[in-house]
Amino acid sequence: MQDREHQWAADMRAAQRGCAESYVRLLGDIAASFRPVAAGELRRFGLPASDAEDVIQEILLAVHLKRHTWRQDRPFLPWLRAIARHKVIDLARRRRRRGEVPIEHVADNLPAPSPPPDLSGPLERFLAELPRRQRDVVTSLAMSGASVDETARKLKMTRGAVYVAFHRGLAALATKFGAWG
Amino acid sequence: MGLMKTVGLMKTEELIDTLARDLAGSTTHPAPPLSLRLLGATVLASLPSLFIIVFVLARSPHLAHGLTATIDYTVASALALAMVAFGMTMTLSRPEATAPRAWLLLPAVILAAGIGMELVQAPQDTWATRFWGNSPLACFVCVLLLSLPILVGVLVALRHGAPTRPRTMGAMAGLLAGGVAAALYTLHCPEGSLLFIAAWHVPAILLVSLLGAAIATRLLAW
Repeated sequence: MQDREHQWAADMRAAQRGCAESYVRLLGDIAASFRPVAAGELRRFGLPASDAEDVIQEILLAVHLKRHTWRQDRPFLPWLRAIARHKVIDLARRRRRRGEVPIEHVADNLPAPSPPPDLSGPLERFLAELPRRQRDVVTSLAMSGASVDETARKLKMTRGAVYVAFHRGLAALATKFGAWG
Repeated sequence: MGLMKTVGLMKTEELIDTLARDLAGSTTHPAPPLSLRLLGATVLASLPSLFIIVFVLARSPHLAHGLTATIDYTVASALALAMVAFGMTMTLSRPEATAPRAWLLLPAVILAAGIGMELVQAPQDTWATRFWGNSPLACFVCVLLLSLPILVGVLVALRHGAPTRPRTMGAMAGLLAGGVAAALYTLHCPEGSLLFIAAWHVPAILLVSLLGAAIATRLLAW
């Protein structure tokens, strides 16, 4: 634990000075360390284990967007753990509010598809169901093929906000497709 | 299960690469520290209230005679409250932090000391009139309303932090806004007793704090 604190704090310090290599290693290590515990944490909050990668991505995103709130004279792990806990609770609250069905139950009952399903109709419908911001960002990045900078400029958002909206929009689409089956 | 994993276009490795690229782009223009943002927001958001106090409400008759003990203690306790609350919100911007609320006793002690001094020197049959003053409801409403734009400004600035206790942070933001508004309001308040201040300004500040706690969970989500 002491070694990890040492190593990750050093990586974060380097990242705050602009070292992308340390940052990539740090984020990869964080994701790897959370993966085994994520499924258990989710189950505690009544969420399916399939959300584990979602949670890990939300945690990494939060670490990135709020990295300026870690001060170098303070321990890194408590800061990280607080962010992770916040994101798991946040996800649980969001899922519960929307009353979504856990994916495993639906997936078990899917009929074996023979021809590849035509997704264009449902895709249009699901896109329309997204909140406006997420829909605009997903359409711009994934459909029109614009860059993150162009999208940010066009929609008058910051780059970070574009990432967040893209990630959330894709996750929502994935859930809708899963439930649609 | 396979459907979820394949439809997810942004794999974790790709996300990490994207974040690393964003890091490289951002260290060339570092963001201003949160303390500066908060200070700036507090000052800016106080300007409308200051404007109203100076140009719309009349100046206090007491100011013509110079600073009284009432004004001294009111301003001192209000500013102490604002400063303590400022520190609290900064602490609560860190996800792992808990705020030591004992500090809030400081402005309470200052005000209590002032009240004690005043009552010791005042005949007991004047205490009731001092408590009720001339315009209790008007003063309560004024402090309440003048705090609101400051509360909004402070909460907007605090969105740049990473609060994991948004309700507590909202309450502290309310105390900050109330403290500043109460300090500014002494420029106008025609009342002369600290008992009045405690009876009517303090509840207004507490109400602003409650409001802050109520709206913060929505406003400070990340």
